[in-house]
Parts: sequence; C-alpha cells; structure tokens
Amino acid sequence: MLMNVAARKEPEGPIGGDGAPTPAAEAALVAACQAGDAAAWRQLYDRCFPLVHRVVVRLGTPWREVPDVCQDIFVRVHRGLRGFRAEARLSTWLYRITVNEVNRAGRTGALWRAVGAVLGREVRSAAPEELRPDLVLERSQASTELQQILAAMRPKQREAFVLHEIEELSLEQIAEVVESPVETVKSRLKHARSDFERLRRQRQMQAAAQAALVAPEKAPSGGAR
Amino acid sequence: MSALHRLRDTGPPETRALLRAGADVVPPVGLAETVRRGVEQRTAPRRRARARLWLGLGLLTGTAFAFGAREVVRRGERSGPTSHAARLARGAPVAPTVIPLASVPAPEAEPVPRATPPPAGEAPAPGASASSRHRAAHSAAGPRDPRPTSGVPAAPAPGVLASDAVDRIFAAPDDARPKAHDKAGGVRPGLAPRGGADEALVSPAERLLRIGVRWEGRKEVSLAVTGSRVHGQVRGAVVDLEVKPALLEGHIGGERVLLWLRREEASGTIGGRDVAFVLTPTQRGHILRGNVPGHGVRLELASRMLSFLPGCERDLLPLPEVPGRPGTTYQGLCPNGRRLRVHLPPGWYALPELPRLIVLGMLLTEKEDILRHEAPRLLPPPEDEGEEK
Repeated sequence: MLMNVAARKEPEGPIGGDGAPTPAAEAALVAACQAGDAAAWRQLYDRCFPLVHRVVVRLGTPWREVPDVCQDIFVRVHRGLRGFRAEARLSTWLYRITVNEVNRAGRTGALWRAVGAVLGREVRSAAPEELRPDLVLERSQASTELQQILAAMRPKQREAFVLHEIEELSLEQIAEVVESPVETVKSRLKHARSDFERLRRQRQMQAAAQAALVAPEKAPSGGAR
Repeated sequence: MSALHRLRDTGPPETRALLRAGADVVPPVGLAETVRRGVEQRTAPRRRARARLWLGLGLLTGTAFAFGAREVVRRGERSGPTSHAARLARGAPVAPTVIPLASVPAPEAEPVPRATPPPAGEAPAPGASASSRHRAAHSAAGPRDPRPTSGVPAAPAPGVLASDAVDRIFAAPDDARPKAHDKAGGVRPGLAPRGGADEALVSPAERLLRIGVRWEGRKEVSLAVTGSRVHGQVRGAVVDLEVKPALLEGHIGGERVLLWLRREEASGTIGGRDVAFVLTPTQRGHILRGNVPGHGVRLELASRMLSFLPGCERDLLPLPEVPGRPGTTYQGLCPNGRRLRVHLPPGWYALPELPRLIVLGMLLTEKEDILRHEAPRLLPPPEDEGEEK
C-alpha cells in the first residue's frame, strides 16, 4: 500500500509526548512505513528520535555510546515495523525496544570491561568523559546532576523511575514496556524513589562540604586585596 | 489505571526542581542526521541481501558440520564401548564357534623360546608345535571371535537378499579368458597369467574353503587357506603368506611381506615400505587399523557385520548359515553402488586374529577410485568389466 504522506495532515507533536498523534494517524504512518514509503519513515524517525535519545541518555548510556545505541534501536524499529500489528501503541513498542536495547548495550559494555580487566587493558569508562568541562558546559548543571544520580541507581529501578518520573508513563504502561507485573513495577519505583532521594541528599552534602573547603581558601586572598 | 503521584509534582522542592530542570535532553546538533544515515545504510536492501547470503552460507556450513559430526559420532559409537541397553537393542552377543585345532593341519615349525611361561590354564599340551601354541594363545580370546553362531540359522537381516538371489546377482563372468596384456612374457615378476590353472580348476565345493571376494561386475578373487598359509592370485598378483609364530611373512606380487606380530600390534615392511597395524577389540569384534603401501586400512569385523575402508564403508551383513556350506558369507551394497560378497572359510577363522585380519584388510581394501592407478600400491588395480583400458 503506497500512501502519499506529504499530502496527509502531519500528526502533531512527538510520539508519546504531549500532543501525541491520534491512534488513527499513528496507524496510517506505520502503514505507510510498512509499504516502503521512505518519506513516511523519515517522518516517523524525526518524531521518534528525541524520545529515543532522551530515554537512552536517561537510562544511563554513556555519552560516547548514545549514537550507536540509537542507531541500533532504529534499525530494530525499521525491521520490526513490518511485523507491527498495532496491538500496542507505537510509543509503548518504541519504549520497549529502547529499554531492551539499552540493557543489551549495558551488558555488552560490562562484558568488554570484564574482558579488558582480564587482559590487563583498562577499557575507558564513560565517567571521565561525562566530567569533561566542555561537555558539562554544554548541558545544564541540573541535567548533569540528574544524569549522575540516575547513573548511580540500579538498572531496573532506574528504568521504572525514568519511565514514570521523566517519561510520565503510567504503571500499566511501564509494566507493558518492561514486561513485568504492575506490582513489581510499583515496588521498583518505590525503591527507586528512596534511592533517588538518598543519592540527591548525598550529592548535596558533598557539594556543601566542597563549598566549605573552597571558601576559607578564597577568604585570605580577598582580605589581602 | 492506577495513579501514583510523581515526585516532580509532589516531592521535596529540591527534587522537584531537579526533575523539572533536567528532564529535557536536547540531542546534539547533527546527531539525528548522523544516526539516520547510519540506519538507512544498515537497512538498505543490498545490505540485507548480503546478510541473507551470509546467513545461508552459515546455515549450509552448520548443516554440513552437523552431518559430518554425526557421522563421526556414529563411527565412534561403533568402535567404542556400548551400553548394556544398546547391546540388547542390537541383539545379544553371539557365542563363538571354535574350530577344533586338530582339524586344521599345521606345518611343524621350530619352537620359539619364550621369555615367560604361559599361564597354567592356557598352557598347550607338551610337544605341541610353536604354531599351534600361537594359535591356542589367540584362541583364548574366543569370546571376541566375531564368527556368527552355528546351529539355528539366523533370520536374514533387513535388506539381505536370499542366497539364490545373490547368486544371480553375482553370476560369474566368463572367466579364464586371458587379457591382452597378460600374455606370457608380458607379466612382471610376481604376477601370474590371469585365469591360470589355480583359479580355473577350483570346483564350487573347494571355493567354499577359500577366501572369496566378489565385487559385482568384477572377477572373483579367491585365496586358499591351507593350515597357516594363505595363497592364491589377486588380479594376476601371486599372494603367498604364511602365519608363523609372531610373524607374518611371504610375498604379494613379488614384493616381500615381513610383519612382526606382538600382542595386538604388527609392524614390518611390505616391499621395503614400513607398515604397521593395530588391532582394537570392541564389544562385538575387532577393528584393525593400519596401512599398506599406498593407503591406510581400517577393517571392522563383528559378529554381524563386516566393513572396511577404503573400499566399502557400509556394513556387509552375514548371510544365513546353510548346512553343508562351511564358512561365513558377508554381503551388501557398497557406497560405490556395487554389491560385494565376501566369503570367509573355516580355515581362515582358525588363524590367529591379528594376522587373519591383516590378510583380510590387505585383500579387501582398495585405493580410492581417483587414485587407483597411482603408485605405490599393494595389489594391481581392479579392472571393471567393460572398462576401457
């Protein structure tokens, strides 16, 4: 089935966010992609990319690996679209692929780090890059702080936290995405919240301690002047 | 849908600020375009076709490997020990038939001094010849004797033809007709004119007392077994081998054969070339592995099958015993499409295991077809009927 997507009214807003397209528009877009319409695919890609990128970053993927993980996700989406039957919302399906792919990339990264440790070669971790001043300046301080707290959380809890608190999915949607019972998701979320609060307070205390250390050093120079 | 409050709305002020401020992640400029190009490259039809090709090749290789591995496993099962249940499934081991030594005329030979005396239970009678002592020592391994039981004739195995049908298949070609290149004077030392008196004058009754190998479409090869001697002609090559204590010696086509036998091993030379054989007992019989000039030898003889490599990898099955027809006849269809019948007379069974299997291995195995005319070789290449020379 070929469809002139340009002539069709474009769905408003990104998929899964505010102003999400209606199910009918979403189905039409998917049908056009399934028929091999390149323009429809690009349209879908443009709408999905911010969501995918955001979730990939928030789920703790190192910045260096974000492009590769995003590419893998969209390759899977491209291949899986043929078999997509619209039994679930496109956004839910997209979230599921994203979460699975991020987990897979995390496992692969851990494997490489273990192999590197065995071979005596240290695989460069993502942490130093994330603390690079130029990259830190690019992002807001709040975003960096949030990212570091999320990176310190356990993966399953981070999944539930990001999908609920940042992506604003309901518990049922999260359960569908992570393929777990709602009660499990609720439990993970509860632990994730307490962890988040604990980590935030820790960072706050560390920042206060650093500020206290820096202040006496500055004071004499200010007094001499 | 169960509702749960969100920290960004109801949490502590610092948490709310953090979540609201840091929720948005703006992709770096150009990242979306870079990723899109990568995706389009990876999902291009050409790439998919290549991936399918690799997948197909992988499947093909995997299948070939799996079949090869299965064959290796099958051979290993055949040669290795088997469980009691597996043996029961294949048929219980058959009690051996021991040929009375008195019935086998053995030439007297010089006694060979032994370093250690034989066990009391196996000691041969005083005054017995060395060859009979040797034979007696090998007969002690009677339970491994692969000869089928006598008495009640066994039912033919599936795929085994009745005797008369086999006889029709192996209808004798017009033998005793000398080939053009076999004229007197054109025969190299050790080769006798084909279809000589030795073969032509053999009666059917006598033939049953000889080792007989008949490939469909070829002339039959038969060797007489007289006491400890095996002699005759194989495609014009004179074969004369004698089993002596700890020794198998003689000639094959003018080449000297000298093999020293020690327990389950034999080593020596054939025509000046080093050869060696190892006999491995199995649950049901024996496997002989070794080499002759030109090729390796693997021969397995069990109670209900005979197979050898190179030549006929498939199992030859024994024909039902017929009263009045001494010996055992194995027959079957080989992978090269030819039927083969091998007759083993009682005299052959009376020989010690190692030399008799070496003789059979030398007689039965052939070089691969593609190498059949290449030197070195133990016996003249077989000539199929109707084959252009």
